[in-house]
Amino acid sequence: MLKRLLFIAGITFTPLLYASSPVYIFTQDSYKELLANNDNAFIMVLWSLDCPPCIEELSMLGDVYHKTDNLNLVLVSTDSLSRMAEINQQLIASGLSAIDSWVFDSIPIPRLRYSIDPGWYGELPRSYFFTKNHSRKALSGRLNAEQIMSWLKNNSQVQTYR
Amino acid sequence: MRELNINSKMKISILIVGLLIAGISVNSFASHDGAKPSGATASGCSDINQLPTLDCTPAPSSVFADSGRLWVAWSYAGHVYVSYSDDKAKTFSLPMSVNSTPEKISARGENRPKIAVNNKGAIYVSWTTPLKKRFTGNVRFSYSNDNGKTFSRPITVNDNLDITGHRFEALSVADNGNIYLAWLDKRDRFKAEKAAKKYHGAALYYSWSDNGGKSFHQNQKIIDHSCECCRVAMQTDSHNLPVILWRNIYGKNTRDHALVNFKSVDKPGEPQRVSFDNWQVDACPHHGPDLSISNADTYHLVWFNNGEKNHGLFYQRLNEKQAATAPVPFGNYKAAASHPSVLSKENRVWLSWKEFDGKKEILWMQYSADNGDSWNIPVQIAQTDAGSDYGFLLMDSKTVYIQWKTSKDGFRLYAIDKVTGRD
Repeated sequence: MLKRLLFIAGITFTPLLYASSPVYIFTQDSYKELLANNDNAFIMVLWSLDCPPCIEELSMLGDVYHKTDNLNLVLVSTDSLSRMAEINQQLIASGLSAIDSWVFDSIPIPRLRYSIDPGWYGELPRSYFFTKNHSRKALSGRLNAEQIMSWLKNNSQVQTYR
Repeated sequence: MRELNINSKMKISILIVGLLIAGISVNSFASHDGAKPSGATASGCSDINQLPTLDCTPAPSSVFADSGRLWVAWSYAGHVYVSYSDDKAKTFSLPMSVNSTPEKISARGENRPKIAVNNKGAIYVSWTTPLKKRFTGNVRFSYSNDNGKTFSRPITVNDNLDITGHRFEALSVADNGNIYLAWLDKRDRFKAEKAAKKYHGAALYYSWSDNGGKSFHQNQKIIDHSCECCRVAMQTDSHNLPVILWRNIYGKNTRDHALVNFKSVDKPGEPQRVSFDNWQVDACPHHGPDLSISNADTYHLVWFNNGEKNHGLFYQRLNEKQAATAPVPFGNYKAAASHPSVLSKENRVWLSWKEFDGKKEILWMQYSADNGDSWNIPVQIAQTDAGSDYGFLLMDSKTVYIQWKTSKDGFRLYAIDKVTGRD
């Protein structure tokens, strides 16, 4: 029945059904949970379907992710929940469907932004580099592979380039 | 954490099914363009037997006609609608559909349907229709010469039909009836990328109509390398020519603002850089400027920037000779002051913007009685603990208002002369 509904609606649902990893809803408590559940250094990247440099960055992140074996990455889409199908399609297209991925809950965006960082003004992409002890460095704008590799070198126990 | 994830997964599944069902309803609605209204409410947005209301849209635009009637353009489920209010947004007419054939319509934050009226009562509506590929779209336009009873068949204003970006349009009508559209255009980027060349950002293009919107002149480029996701601000001056303010890309990645005025209708002047905040970022700020022109062709500019030294909201005035005052910061940067609006009338200038204090979104206003030389203390106009749209300043013949739509209170006009004590 579900598939029938999807067929009628003309929406490609397959990626969501078969995505390697579910996309979680990012609530006002999620940032704290993310920290509590990440014992290692990690990078959190906020992105949107409406942001061209974000899409370019996702492609780069996908490449780096597949070339390394220890990129601890968390992706958070700031798009609305109603765009889940598109979000999943993009994650798959960027080779990032296995990444820990979140999408903003349907509550006012300023609240969610504030829960992460009152000093973030909504520009995208926005990245946070966390050390193992969760001190963080925020960066606005598109990252490049060198930044990721350099961070990996400094923050990982073992790092190999496949 | 685990429990949260399971709940989240369930939530997503339920939501998707719900949306799909709603999507089917929406499509059904779209084919019932002539459905008789029956006082739809927000809960009736997906009811095929009811016409939608303003509560169904996230991003409306409004303007006062000389008659004092408020006209609002908004979109829902593939249609741009126009409705009006004769009692300052307390009640609205039934919505009139502008496009009889449904099409996708951009209606979020920076990009929403626009509406303008001329001094003879004609109504002009523009919007962006996204195409199949992401970040692409066409600029659409329609007009009504019979007080909104009927609208012309929408036309595409961009004369380049590559599947690329022609989006974030701004609409303005001059006193002589000329209609101007300016937008962010990626036709040159499209061409460059086909030739395997890099092209940064978009370009600013414009066109105009001198026959009431029946047709538009050949598109003209104003500048290459504009920022690509910020709204464009445009007003017309006393010479019936447009003045445009937008976020531009300078050098490799410096996102500052540029302004252009025109020598004649088909001759844009040289764009000049008006902000020097040096926000260097390869990102989408999603945060465009605003512009108002007072009677003496004095330009009042507001913008947001996030440079290392200069950050937050800024106001600046340019006089007839284009000499600029030093930018004046306003709003509380630490409370995420954002999305500014500016309005001017003779020597009076109003600013509005939004802030977030951790719990509430707050609509602020600040007023100057001396052409922006000095400012009163900022005043809170309204607040909400629900979500809200940007605020927009507008005025009828004697009163200034701020349009603010919140998900809890809906579309409201806040008369702000009451706050300043002026009439």
